[in-house]
Amino acid sequence: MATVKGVNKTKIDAGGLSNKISQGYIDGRVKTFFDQYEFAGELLATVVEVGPELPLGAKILEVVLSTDDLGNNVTLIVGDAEDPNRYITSTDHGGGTVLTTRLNAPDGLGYEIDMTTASTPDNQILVTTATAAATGTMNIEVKYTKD
Amino acid sequence: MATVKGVNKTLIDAGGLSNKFEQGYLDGRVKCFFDQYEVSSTVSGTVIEMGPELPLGSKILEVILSTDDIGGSSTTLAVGDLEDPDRYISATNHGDGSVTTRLNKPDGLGYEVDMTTAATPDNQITITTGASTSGTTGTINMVVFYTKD
Repeated sequence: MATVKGVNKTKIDAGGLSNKISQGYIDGRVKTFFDQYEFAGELLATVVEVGPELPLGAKILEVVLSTDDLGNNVTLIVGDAEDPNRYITSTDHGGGTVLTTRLNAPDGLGYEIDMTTASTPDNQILVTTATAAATGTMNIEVKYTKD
Repeated sequence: MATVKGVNKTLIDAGGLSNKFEQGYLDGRVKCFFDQYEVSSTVSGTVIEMGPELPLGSKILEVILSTDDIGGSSTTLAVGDLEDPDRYISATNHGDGSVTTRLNKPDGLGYEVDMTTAATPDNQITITTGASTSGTTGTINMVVFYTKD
């Protein structure tokens, strides 16, 4: 049976200053924000900005999106202006029941805010609607670390 | 309707120094680590060590494992440690599309790292591959939340 190591575990075992690990990736302090939005029949493709602009270098640990039945088979995605579904892929939140969806896109887990392109900032979390008009309450919580 | 109490709630309500309970179980500070591994034709039974050796007394709060479709015809991943390879996440198919799995073992939630047996340390989180892994490739991302104080 073979034993191999993750990227950061490799750095830990190798030791030395050259193996510095990004802040927050080991013994990271977990921070969180919560936000809420009341949909009142907004048209499809509405972009909802939630929470603060995250600091450069923040790493996303978890996204929890919990809503009423928003009606009309409205789908929601969660991401940012650079990648609108970086954290949660298209999910039907209007299918006749309340629903809680969590981060489900592999590239989103541990994603580091880098602000590579100023015109499409990745430091502002966005929820985007599709399919039809939405009505009801949306709650979102995001856990992240930076140091 | 009956009302009963959890172990720690019982200690809180009873009060007194004799009811002191372990650090991290109340008003605990949540910490985390992140690690990543690029699977490249990894064979079945491979143990992937992820993150640091956790300090004695750490309590595990959540484990999130999110991967690409790592192929290999229904490749399974289990998360635990060298004492119990599936203490946190039971063997789950990560080979049919991208999948995100979270802690799903009751005994893993709140588990305290105790290093009972030196030969099988429980302070090193591991992923163990299983089932068919021929042609397995892709990225594994992992986040672990824990508390100690």
